Amino acid sequence: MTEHAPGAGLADWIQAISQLLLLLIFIALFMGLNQRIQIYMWSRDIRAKLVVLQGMAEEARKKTLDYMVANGAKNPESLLSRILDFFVIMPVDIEPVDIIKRLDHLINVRRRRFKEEFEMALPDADLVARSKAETAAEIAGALNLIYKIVRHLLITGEKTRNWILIMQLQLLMPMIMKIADTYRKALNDFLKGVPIGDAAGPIVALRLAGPGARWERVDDETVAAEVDFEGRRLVLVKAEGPMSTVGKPGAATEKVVKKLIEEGRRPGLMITVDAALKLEGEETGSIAEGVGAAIGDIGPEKIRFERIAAEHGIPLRAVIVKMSMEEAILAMNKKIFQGVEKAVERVKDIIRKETRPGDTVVVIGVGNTAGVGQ
Amino acid sequence: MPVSPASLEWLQGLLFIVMVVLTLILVLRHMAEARGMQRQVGERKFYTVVECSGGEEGAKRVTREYREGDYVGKLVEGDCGGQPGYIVGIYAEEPEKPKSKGFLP
Repeated sequence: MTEHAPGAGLADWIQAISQLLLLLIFIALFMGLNQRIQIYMWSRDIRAKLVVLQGMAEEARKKTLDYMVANGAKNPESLLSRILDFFVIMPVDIEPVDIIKRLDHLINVRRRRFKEEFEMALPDADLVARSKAETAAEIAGALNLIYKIVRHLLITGEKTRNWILIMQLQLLMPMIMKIADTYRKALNDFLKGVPIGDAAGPIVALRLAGPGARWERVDDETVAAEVDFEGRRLVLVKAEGPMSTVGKPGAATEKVVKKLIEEGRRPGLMITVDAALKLEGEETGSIAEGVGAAIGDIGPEKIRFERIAAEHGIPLRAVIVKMSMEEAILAMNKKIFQGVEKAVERVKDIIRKETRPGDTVVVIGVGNTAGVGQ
Repeated sequence: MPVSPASLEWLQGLLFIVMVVLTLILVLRHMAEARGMQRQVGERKFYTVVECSGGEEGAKRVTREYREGDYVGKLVEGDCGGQPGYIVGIYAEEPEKPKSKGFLP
């Protein structure tokens, strides 16, 4: 009779079950179990970040509402609900004839709509407070849109078991979170009313004008002033501050140049100054110059600079202050402030080198002029 | 020399501890990231740069803390010892962040 060691039967069973489990896992792996586990982990990670995004969107909405209520808003919730989902349908581009005119028209309608809505909602608030509320609503809208798009992609990926979509979304999430976080911080800075990085252009124009300049409105939310500089006449154009607006620099410059030509003073030079996105590794606040219209517009304003300069043969120069996208919409930092100083000197150098005393020069400070008056 | 299973028990224990520690680190890291996202801004300090009208020594600049209502281009009084001043810049400064000491943020 064979004698078994005590516990040997249990060990055999454990070994047999382990082997069976291994076999089952091996088969499950062939049937895509690993992918499902991976998708589950990615989805969980996206879902956790989606909660943070939702929190950011709700926080932005609440801050905007609080600001509007503090400024005597009438029925702000109803206005904000409509504004958050407001959209602009881009014009037909397979027929490019007059596309700029059509796009300009749509942008103007949108701008007017927003302005009128906020005028009605905040009848007792001043222009600066209204512009802050408008910008805050736009930021809240952007955060809401980011949240909704991420949610849409996640649900679509899960419904259709599209692991490539979920994988792509998961890989993009750190970047999306960074953009959302930047918007969240930007909302505080806009409500505080301090200049943002993008205000570099308007500050350069203001610095060239100096404290004694007489500014006049030349277009919607856009002003111009004329001053002397080493025997030249400088015409400076910027958005009207300290409201949060970019104005209509292209349309205003077109009017200014046409008026100068009517007066027999054809400008000898046009210089646009704007904040520009730096490449990673480049120094914030560094300056570069070039040729063309420095403006981050989608078309209608930029083309006006190019058209008016080309039509009258005016050299069109550009000076940019480099910064990251985050720095452009957050409160101006010291490096950008120092960059503005350098840009002022660079513009003066260009004017000295490329024009003669008696010439007229148009300098346009492009960008959001929140916290920058005149 | 044959290795008995009993002599490797310490290795199993060690592996278990390593697994638990790694899992804890990853969970803490994830939580710290989420907390970082929700952290409120407000630690930044804002400064206003005022250019004083030239006296005998010429134009000079004074940097002071930002005050509600300041904007670039605003004419101000009281920052230049009786002379009128003009705000030429407003900027924010981040406080220095403590350096990360390793794996945890």
